[in-house]
Amino acid sequence: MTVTDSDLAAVSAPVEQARGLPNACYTDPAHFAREADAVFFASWAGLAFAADAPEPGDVKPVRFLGQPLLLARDREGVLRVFLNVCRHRGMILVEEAARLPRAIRCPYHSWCYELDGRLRTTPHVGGPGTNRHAAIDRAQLGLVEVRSHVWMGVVWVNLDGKAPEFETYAADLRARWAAFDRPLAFAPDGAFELEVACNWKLAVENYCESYHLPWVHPGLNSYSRLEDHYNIEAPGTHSGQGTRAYRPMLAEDGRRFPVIAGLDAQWEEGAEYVALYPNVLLGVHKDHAFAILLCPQGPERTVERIAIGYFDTAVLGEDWAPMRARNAAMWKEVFEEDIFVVEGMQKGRHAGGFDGGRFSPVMDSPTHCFHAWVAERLRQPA
Amino acid sequence: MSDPADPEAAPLSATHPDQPRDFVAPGADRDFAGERLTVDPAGARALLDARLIAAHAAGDTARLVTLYAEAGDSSEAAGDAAAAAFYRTHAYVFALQSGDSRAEELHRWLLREGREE
Ligand code: FES
Ligand SMILES: [Fe+2]
Repeated sequence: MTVTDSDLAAVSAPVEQARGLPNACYTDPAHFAREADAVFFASWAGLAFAADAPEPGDVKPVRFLGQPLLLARDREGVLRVFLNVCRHRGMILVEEAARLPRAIRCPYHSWCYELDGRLRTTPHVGGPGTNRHAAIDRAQLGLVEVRSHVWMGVVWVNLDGKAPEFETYAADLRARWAAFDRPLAFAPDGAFELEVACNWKLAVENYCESYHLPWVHPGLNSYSRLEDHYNIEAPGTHSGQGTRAYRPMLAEDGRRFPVIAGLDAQWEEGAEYVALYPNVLLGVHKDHAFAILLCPQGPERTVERIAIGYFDTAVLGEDWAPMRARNAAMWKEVFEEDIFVVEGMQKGRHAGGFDGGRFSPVMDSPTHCFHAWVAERLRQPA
Repeated sequence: MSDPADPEAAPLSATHPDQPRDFVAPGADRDFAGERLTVDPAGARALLDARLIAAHAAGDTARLVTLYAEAGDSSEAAGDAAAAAFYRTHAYVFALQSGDSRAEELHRWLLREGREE
């Protein structure tokens, strides 16, 4: 069922009257393809973690909504994203993550590319033993680079190349979180994945609001009460929630993770959780931050990749390992508690008579803010 | 990159299926049976092919550089410039892939011959 402009207008209405996105937005493969273009490729979307290719020479293939992409870190340590496709006959270049000593050799006719994308040689292109030809201009035939930007350990990409600069897109959130705009040390043992049977948007919607906390995360509620929470809404880029009462974790021996020095009162006491549209869920606290990358696998399947980073590199040391493990386990439990609701909402989207649902004008406005953004992206002329 | 295959399992050639991978030392002028390679150019070619196939099967790029460079040298010595360029192109490609410093010298030669940029 095609999602029409009048369906979308109902979504964009003021929160008091608005309906949620219609079922087809969650279940229809044709709509999923439309969304890939209009919502993901036309925006800055989260692709991977910078830690997926940590060292010079590292290459990692990533499929992104059907697009074969390649993360590559060159000798100087610069991370880029390319189409994972040879400029000759379109062979897939890299099938598995690897640490390459130098060039990427296409497995088909052995055209070789430097890790920065330059085409280095084209063996026999002018006949056996002749590796040049007037028609083959190497300067024009490097790997096709995709616009990318790294922030908070996440590699963002803009596939259609037409979005404003990432710095512009994320400017409001970066300003809001200026206190946290500093290097993050990601612990390999703080990374985990969850596979969920739902559309990626349901994970965003659930993440944005605090309405469900006392019901779905009663454990959290004991120290982070609903009334301590507030909504965050920046139409067009992000929305989410914050808490005024963040209680850092205590180690068995009474220690706490080191915190950023000199924070103001808001960040001494609070924490915030924001979805930077479309698919990256971020959380910041005075002692750590995390990023959840939503990797859509189809209309009804999403892989969530979670990475936890610390503002003090000392926390990556051995003596903090048990505490890091507890922190990761705590977040994993929270995110796992959300699975039954996002999967349950997905099942609900198969009820033909469901009209997209209604929002609490008070509690659900961050979710409505996200829906309005999605609806607006879909209405953009292709 | 593929893992180096088990050398025992690496195929050699139809004529010597059971020979170990290194049955001819690099640069040797005699084969495993002690016969001079040069008395039988076809046989020498077959032995080179066998060594190349084994190195390809093992994904042993350093050895591929060595073998293709040797093949380039003997082609040049035999006055076959086209074959030399062919083999040295292969040596160059595998040197690029493996970050082998021989890439620069091979590149210089190919460039001199008007076969590279
Ligand atoms: S397709 Fe890559 S070299 Fe031919
Ligand atoms: Fe939740």
